Amino acid sequence: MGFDDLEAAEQDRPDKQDEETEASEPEPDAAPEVPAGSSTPDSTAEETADSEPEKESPEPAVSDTPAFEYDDVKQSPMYARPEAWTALEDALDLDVVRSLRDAGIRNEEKRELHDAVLRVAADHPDEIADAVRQARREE
Amino acid sequence: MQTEPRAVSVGILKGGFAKTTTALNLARELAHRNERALVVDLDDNGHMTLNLGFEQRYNSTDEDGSNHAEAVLLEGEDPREHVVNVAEGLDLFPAHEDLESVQSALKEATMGTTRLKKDLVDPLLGEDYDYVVIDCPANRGKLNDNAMYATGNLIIPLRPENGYETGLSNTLDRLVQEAREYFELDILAVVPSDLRKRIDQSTRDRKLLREITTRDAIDHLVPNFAYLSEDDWEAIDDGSYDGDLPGVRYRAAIDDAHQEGVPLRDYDPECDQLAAYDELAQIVERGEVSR
Repeated sequence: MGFDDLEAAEQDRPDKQDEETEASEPEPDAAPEVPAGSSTPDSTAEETADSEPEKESPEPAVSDTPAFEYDDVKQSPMYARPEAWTALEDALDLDVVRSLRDAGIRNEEKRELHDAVLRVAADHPDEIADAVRQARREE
Repeated sequence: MQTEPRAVSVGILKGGFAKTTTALNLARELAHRNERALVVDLDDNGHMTLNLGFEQRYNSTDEDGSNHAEAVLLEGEDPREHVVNVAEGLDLFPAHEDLESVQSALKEATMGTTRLKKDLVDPLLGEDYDYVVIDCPANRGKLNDNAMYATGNLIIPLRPENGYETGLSNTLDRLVQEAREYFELDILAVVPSDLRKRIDQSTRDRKLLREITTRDAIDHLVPNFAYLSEDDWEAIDDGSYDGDLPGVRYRAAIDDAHQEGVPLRDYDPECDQLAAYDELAQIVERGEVSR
C-alpha cells in the first residue's frame, strides 16, 4: 500500500538520511484526567523507551512484537455499563495508545491492553472500592 | 504557553469541503500571529494557487520541461527559489498543473513518501517559517502520503454537504489508520465550515454538529467555536440556548474574499469569523484543541 516505501527504507537504507532533531515534535501530554481505575502508572511500562525515535525509519525502541501470544489469553466476560466501557475505550485510545506511540510502540494488541488494565486495577483495590461506593452514593 | 514550529496538513478525501479556504485562512492567521508562515498547495486542481493569482507559476515549466514541484521534490532544488509572497508574513509554495506526473514519479522514487519532508518541510520549518500548512489533494496517492508524513498533523475540514460522513470515515479509515501503521499522525482538529442553517430543527447542519460533538474520539477534536456540549444541546432543544452559534459560519465576506483571491483578513479584517480561524491557528500552535 501507500507507505510501503517507508518499510523498504527500513530494511535497506540506501544512504543514511541525516537525522535531524525534530522541530515539530508534539509536546508530551500532561496526562489528562482518566476515569478512575484506568490510570496508567509506570508499572505497566515493560521497559522505558529511549526517547529519540529515529525519524526516517521509525524503529521501535522496545520490542516490536506483542508481549505474549494470543494462545496465552483466556477470554472471560466483564459486566459493565456502556458508559464505563466508553470511558475505558477513550482512555485507552486517547491516552494510553498515545503514550505507547511516544515510547515507539505502535502495534499494541487488544489483549495486551486488556491484560494491563486488569493488572493495574488489581494493584489499586482501594480505588476500586471507592469507585463502587461512589457509584452507590450516586444512585 | 510554550509553542514551537509545527507543520500541519489540511485534508479530507473528498472535494468541496472548504479545504482550500480553511488552509489559506488558517495559514493567514498563523502569519498574522507569528509573522512567518508558509502555505503549500499540493492540490493539482490548483484552486489556491490560481485563486491567489499565480497562473504563471501553475502553468510554466523550466527549459527542460520540468515544473517547480518536480524540481524540489525529485531533483532536490531549493524550495526557497519557488515560493511567492501572498500577504504580510505569508508565503505560498504554488501548485502546478502537472502535479500528477510528480505523483507518478514519487511512486517510483526511492523513499518517495519522504521527499516533501526531506526537501521542503524540514529545511524550512523553524528556519524560514514557524508554521507550514499544506493544502492536500482530495484523493489518495503519493502526494497525500507525503503530506501526512511531512507534517505528522492533520486538520480535517467538513461542510454540511451530502457525503460528509463517508468523506470523514474514509479519511479516518484509509488515510489516517494506514499512515499510523508507519508513523505518528495526530489529528489536531475537525473543522466544520459554511454553517448557515438552524440547529434547533432537523437540518444537515444539526446532524453534522451532533455527530462530531457527540462521537467518541472526535468530540475532543472540535474547536470551541464549533463545539456544543450536552448541556448546550439540551438548551438548544428546549429553546433556552443563548450562546454563540457554532462556526465557521457562512459569511458573504468569506466567499467574496475567495472571489477576490485574497485571504479573509485582507478582504474584511472586521469579519466576525476571523475569530474562528484565529482559534484554529492557536490549536496549531499548541498542537491540540484546548477546552
